Amino acid sequence: MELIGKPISQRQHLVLHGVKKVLYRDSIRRFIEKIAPKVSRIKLQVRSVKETMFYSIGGKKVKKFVFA
Amino acid sequence: MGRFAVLAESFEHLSYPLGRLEPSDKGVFSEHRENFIFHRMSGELDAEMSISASDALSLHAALPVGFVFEGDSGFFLVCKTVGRQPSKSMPAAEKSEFCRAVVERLSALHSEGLGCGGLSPDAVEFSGKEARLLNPAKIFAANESDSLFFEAVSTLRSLVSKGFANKKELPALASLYLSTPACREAVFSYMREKKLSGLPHLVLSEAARKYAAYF
Repeated sequence: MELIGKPISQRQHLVLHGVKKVLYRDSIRRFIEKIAPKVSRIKLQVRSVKETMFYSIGGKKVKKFVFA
Repeated sequence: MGRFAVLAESFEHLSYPLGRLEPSDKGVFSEHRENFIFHRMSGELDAEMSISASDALSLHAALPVGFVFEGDSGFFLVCKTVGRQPSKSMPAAEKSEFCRAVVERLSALHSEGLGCGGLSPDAVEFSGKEARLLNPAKIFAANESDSLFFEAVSTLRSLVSKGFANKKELPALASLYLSTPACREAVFSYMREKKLSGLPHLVLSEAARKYAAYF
């Protein structure tokens, strides 16, 4: 099994045969262990959140997520 | 600039799908058994205005919960939908309910001094009883230069042309639209301007039937 991509944040997007799943780091490990016998290649597609900030729009609290 | 998402309180979990989805106009996605739709915005200001007015417009339109910016595509408003989009394959009784819901929504908007450019069946969601606009950014504060009569005619016309109502149902739908004073005044002022006489609901339904001749 070949693992492409290095987990760099708490949240990773796992692409497996075109089906995307959003998993936490521990879940990714468990998921890989579970499917390892069935597939030969797993691509980890990383789009982590690099910055967050809070502010308000018209009195409504919002959170801004800047993706890497 | 790359990609960012701005999300209202209690919708922060949408950062997960918004981090990976490619937004497109009228694109839909689901998360936690809730359905959401993207609407293309001309800029950040328009998207922010929809979010700040969400409380006032939530009765009439899908709830805006945030927006996403994608470097190549621009800004997209993200709205939570609770109904489904109508289809021509709906049973006749449901089509009739849908048409009434659309006309009632238009009447309610006009009664509050709001315009929307007319309601097309493609632009609303139907929950079984109520019809709401899919895109809250289409709603604007109407002024004297906006023709509410035109919006009513255009709505009735699109219900017929898209196959949700037949021409015989137009007078009844027109009567339903005229159930509020603001809507009656919109039709009466058009009749005064054009020096038309007759029953207002018949004038409205006739205008919808001969749409091209009137506008």
